[in-house]
Amino acid sequence: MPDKTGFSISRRLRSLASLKLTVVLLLLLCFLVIAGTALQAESGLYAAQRAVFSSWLFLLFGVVPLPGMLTVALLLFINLLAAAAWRLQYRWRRAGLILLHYGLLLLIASGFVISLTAREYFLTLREGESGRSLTLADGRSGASLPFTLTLLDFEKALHPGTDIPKSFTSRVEIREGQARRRAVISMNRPLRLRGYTFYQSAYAEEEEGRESSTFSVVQGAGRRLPYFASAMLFLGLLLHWLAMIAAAMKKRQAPGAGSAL
Amino acid sequence: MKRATGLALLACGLLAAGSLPAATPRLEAFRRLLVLEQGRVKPLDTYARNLLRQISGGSSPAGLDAVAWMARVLFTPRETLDMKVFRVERSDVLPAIGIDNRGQGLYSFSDLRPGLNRLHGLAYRYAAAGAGRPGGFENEVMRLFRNISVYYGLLDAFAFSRPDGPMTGAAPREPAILPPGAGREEPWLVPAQAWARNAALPAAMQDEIALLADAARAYAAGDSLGFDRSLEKFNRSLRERLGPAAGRPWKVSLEIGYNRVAPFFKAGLAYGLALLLLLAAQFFQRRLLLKLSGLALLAGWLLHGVGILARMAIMGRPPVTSLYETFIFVSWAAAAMGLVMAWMRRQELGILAGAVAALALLVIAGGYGLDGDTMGMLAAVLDSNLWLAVHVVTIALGYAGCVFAGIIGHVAIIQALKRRPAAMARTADALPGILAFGLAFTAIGTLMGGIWADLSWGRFWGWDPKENGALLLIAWCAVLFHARLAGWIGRVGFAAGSVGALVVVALAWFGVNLLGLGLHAYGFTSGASRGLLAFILLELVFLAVAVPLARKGSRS
Repeated sequence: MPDKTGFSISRRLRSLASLKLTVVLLLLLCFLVIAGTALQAESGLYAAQRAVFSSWLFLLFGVVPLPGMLTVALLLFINLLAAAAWRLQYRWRRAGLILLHYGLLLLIASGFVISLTAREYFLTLREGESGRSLTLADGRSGASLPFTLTLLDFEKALHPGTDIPKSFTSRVEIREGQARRRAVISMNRPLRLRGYTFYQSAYAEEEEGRESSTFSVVQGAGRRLPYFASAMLFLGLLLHWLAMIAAAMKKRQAPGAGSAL
Repeated sequence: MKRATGLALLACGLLAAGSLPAATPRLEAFRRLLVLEQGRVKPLDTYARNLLRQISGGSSPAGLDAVAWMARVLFTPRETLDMKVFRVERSDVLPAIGIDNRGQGLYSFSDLRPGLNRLHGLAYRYAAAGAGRPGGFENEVMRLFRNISVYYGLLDAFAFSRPDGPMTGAAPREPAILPPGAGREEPWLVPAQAWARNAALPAAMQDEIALLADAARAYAAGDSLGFDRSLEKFNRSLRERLGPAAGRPWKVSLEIGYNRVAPFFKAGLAYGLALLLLLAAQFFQRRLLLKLSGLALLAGWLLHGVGILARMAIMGRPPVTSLYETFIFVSWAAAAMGLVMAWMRRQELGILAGAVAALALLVIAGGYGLDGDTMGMLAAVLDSNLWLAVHVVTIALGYAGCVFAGIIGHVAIIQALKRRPAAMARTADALPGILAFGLAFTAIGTLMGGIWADLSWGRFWGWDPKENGALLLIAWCAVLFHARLAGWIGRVGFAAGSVGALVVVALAWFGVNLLGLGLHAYGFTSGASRGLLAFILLELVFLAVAVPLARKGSRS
């Protein structure tokens, strides 16, 4: 009977909202984080990314198949979506919790958008050198910039009498057609231009005191999405906290009112 | 309430004052000499204390004042050759360099001298091979050699002022107390170095070197007045020559005061006292003892906070910038939570959890404080920035909430074991609120960290071990709340899960730093990994044994 099938399909869909599924997925997440971190300590971040953090399937000890971080994230997303549809109680006093869960949905979604569209390159220039071709992390040549960058000067400052770096600064010139302008890229102060972001990443000293500077160059979509998600989560936590305090106050007042009678 | 606060302030003041008269007055100007070490200009008081602590492994030899010791090392070095100040941690190090193990762990330079050649050979071989693990034989050899070298490098810093001339033939390397100019980037000079190129220096510096020589001669002759006067003139001359670069006098005074008071040590004593009084209150059933216990906690917390403020003022930076400071700050936050809980009419539980958490974290911080100057400079990537500061403080508050919940989880389980279901229920019902606090602050702090990382490194999230640690803690707390909502765990389960959160905090805090990788690995240490493993095993055994029994206990 179609009626019954419909009922059971919706029931099955509803079971996707199950709290127990949430718990299992979160435990899996915990396990993957531990495994990935341990792997990273042993064979580096790149290997850990490929095996655990950006994979759909993870082979524990190379044998036991487990869902990778992408799978767990996707399942959590579905679980959250189902919860938003059927489990969350849409009442004012739950506003914080609701916002929290929607913020998480957006956070996971933005993770997917960023990791699917992000391109990360490197650009190494010696002092006085100009360039526009970017290399990939594995050394292969990647994309080409729509403008030319010239490294005018690289400066490294140490805390006096130590080897502790105080700051790294690269002064560059940007040439687009006939237009030229200068900019400074330093630690924690990236240069953003035409969708590319340049970060001071490394430096090297060659003979004759000539220095070279390496920038990591990032291009991709959705860079601002986590900011919105963070704002939602922050607001959600704040609202939920206020609601909890309000509930606690009510509870405290109730017995007092009783004794006044 | 007002009277209680007044009493706590008084106790706090007494604690702080307890150590004031200890110093010998004639060393005042000496203490205030400025030393450039590891990138920071600090009073000689700090330099001497750190060095003696480093050499003698934390427990300075009985009755030895670090500044007085430093004066003798610099001005009358022969008198210090037989002072037992060198700590040797492992019993197999001395036999390996041909010296008998005698006495208790502390040795003098004369004791060690016959083995120096071998020690030197071994240390260089290990260092070249990059050998050594924390607490191991190789590390101890290298540590001992480094300490002896530093001491040896001090002996001739003032040799030019002595009639019998240099003792060692080695070029003195510390202390750097003579700035060559007002420029901050140039390395400062050791007096002997400055003396060697005296003629090439500006007249003002030549005068300063002469003042130092006068001071050294006055010290050797026992003329304390002359010693003081020469160094005062020297300090004044530096201030005139350098201006603000010479460090503001009030900051120097504040740092010396901070060293003298040792606020975190005293706060630890107060927390210990609070626990003892709490125990006595349980024993004798007196309200007064309970009140006194709460006051001890409050006094310790106030002094603790003053110590944090003093560090912020001295360094001009936010409260949490190093691993050491995370312990200090989280400890303080945990004590604050204990006070809030005690104020909300849960006195015993609040004092117990607050004092235990604060004391334990201060003890750990003390271990990290042995590594040298706890006010070291920061690498470029962690240089101060408001957003970063807020991120770190927020995460630290989150960790404090989880630590606090973990301790209350222990209490709840133990109450269940003792078959006191009503008390257990009351304790366990406080847990969700505290853990929610921890979860919320950890989550907000982590998101802020993500935004900071995006602004400065170009990625919101990078699976860095420290980020993973925070994510693990968030996920674990989320597991607990959802499992409780699903009815999978009850009070005992939630209490056990809170203990688990404590384990996760320990992993996120130490495990990550012990891995020694990633941008966040700003602290490294020796010997803590074994402690961490032991702690985790202990907690797991506790949970495995206690939880099944507690299940029965909470039902009866």
